[in-house]
Amino acid sequence: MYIKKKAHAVFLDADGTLWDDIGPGGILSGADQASRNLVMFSELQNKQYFKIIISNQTLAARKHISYFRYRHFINKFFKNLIRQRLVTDFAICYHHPKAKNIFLRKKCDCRKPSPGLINIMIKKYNIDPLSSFFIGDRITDIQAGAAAKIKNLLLLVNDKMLDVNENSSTEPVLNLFFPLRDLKEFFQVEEIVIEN
Amino acid sequence: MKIDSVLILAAGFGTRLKPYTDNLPKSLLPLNDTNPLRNLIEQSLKYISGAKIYINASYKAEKIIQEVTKFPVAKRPYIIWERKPLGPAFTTTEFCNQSEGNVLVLHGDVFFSDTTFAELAASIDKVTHDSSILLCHKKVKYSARSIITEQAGFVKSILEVSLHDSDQNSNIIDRTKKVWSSSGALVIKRNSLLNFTAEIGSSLSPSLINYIANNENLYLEKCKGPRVSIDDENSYLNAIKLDQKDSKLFDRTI
Repeated sequence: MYIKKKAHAVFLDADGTLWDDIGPGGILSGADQASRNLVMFSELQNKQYFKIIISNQTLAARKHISYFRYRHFINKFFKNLIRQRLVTDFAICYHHPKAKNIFLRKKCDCRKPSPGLINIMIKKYNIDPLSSFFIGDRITDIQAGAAAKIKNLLLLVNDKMLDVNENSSTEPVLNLFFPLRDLKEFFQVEEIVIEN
Repeated sequence: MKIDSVLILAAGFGTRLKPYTDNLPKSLLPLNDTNPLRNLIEQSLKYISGAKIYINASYKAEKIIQEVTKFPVAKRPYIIWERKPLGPAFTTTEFCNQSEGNVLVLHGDVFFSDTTFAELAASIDKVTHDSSILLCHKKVKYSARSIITEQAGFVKSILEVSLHDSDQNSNIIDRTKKVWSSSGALVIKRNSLLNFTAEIGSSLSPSLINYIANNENLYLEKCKGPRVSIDDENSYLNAIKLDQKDSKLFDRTI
């Protein structure tokens, strides 16, 4: 019987990871930086990693822009990166539990630190979480990755990295991660993980 | 005995060392050119080969993370972050039950001289019997907080006593003799804590150590070498002095 081998992936957060974290809506000016950073990941091409973006985007929830306009912009933004083969796929949560836009006011299971979006992608691409990576700049990225059972959780060191959001669990849990100075260090970590 | 992981406990508030710890976790207090955490990481890398290193951080964790990222990727420890410190017993139990091997647990506020750590590592290496190991050193009773009762080279029990005369335990002990006291390092054999329930906020001693002593063998590794547990201003100054000199140690006679 033929059993399809599971794939592996690098899940990436967006704000603060692909581009500087300048608050909600950073994506509007993040295209160049995102491309530059994602080009580095082309090195992984021959290792056949899926590169998947998982992001919370709250600009529409804060009513700074209409939801449809914002979603249209974000879809266009990431589809452009997919066309350039810089990313494989993306999944965005537009909700916020205290959103001004009442249609987006929701305690959902897709807003990080909940693992909803990651789980959807794991299923969609038949990804093995144990041989995959999650790179983020907030502890909530690590918590989402851990909840999705991703083994290699990497946190980019910055001033806000340990800020927790309203969805964070108050359960006594150990958050295990490997700290990265910058995105480039990922490639050294990846080599060590693969060797072992 | 092979060590698979080193867990350095550095999550506490360092309350007894305020105001030194107002802006710095205890494990990062400066000691000449180093600090206790950096010293433990370097010694672990040097003497415990092949083990992964994990730092448990909570209070001022961002400073610990910044310190850790000064190490190159291949030598850099992992971080275990807690929103609020959960206590050494809880963290150690969770960690040991999630990991798959023998764990060396080190208190992040202990400063070992290099020779002491080398001897500790060599002793762990030599142990061939199937047991956990508690490192201890000889201390006069009036200054010992964790007092060990020994039976044929193994820990029978450990008792926590207060150093304040007004506290109730202070009358129990004879403060004129020397005793074996817990020394900031504990090797936990794989699967030793599977049935142990740790209370949040509690220390390794007495509950967790007594659990291992009562349910399995807990070998007593006697170490006379200099090490300082940085508990207060005096011990902090002692650690600074110890960092300046390295001595020949490890007399195993009591």
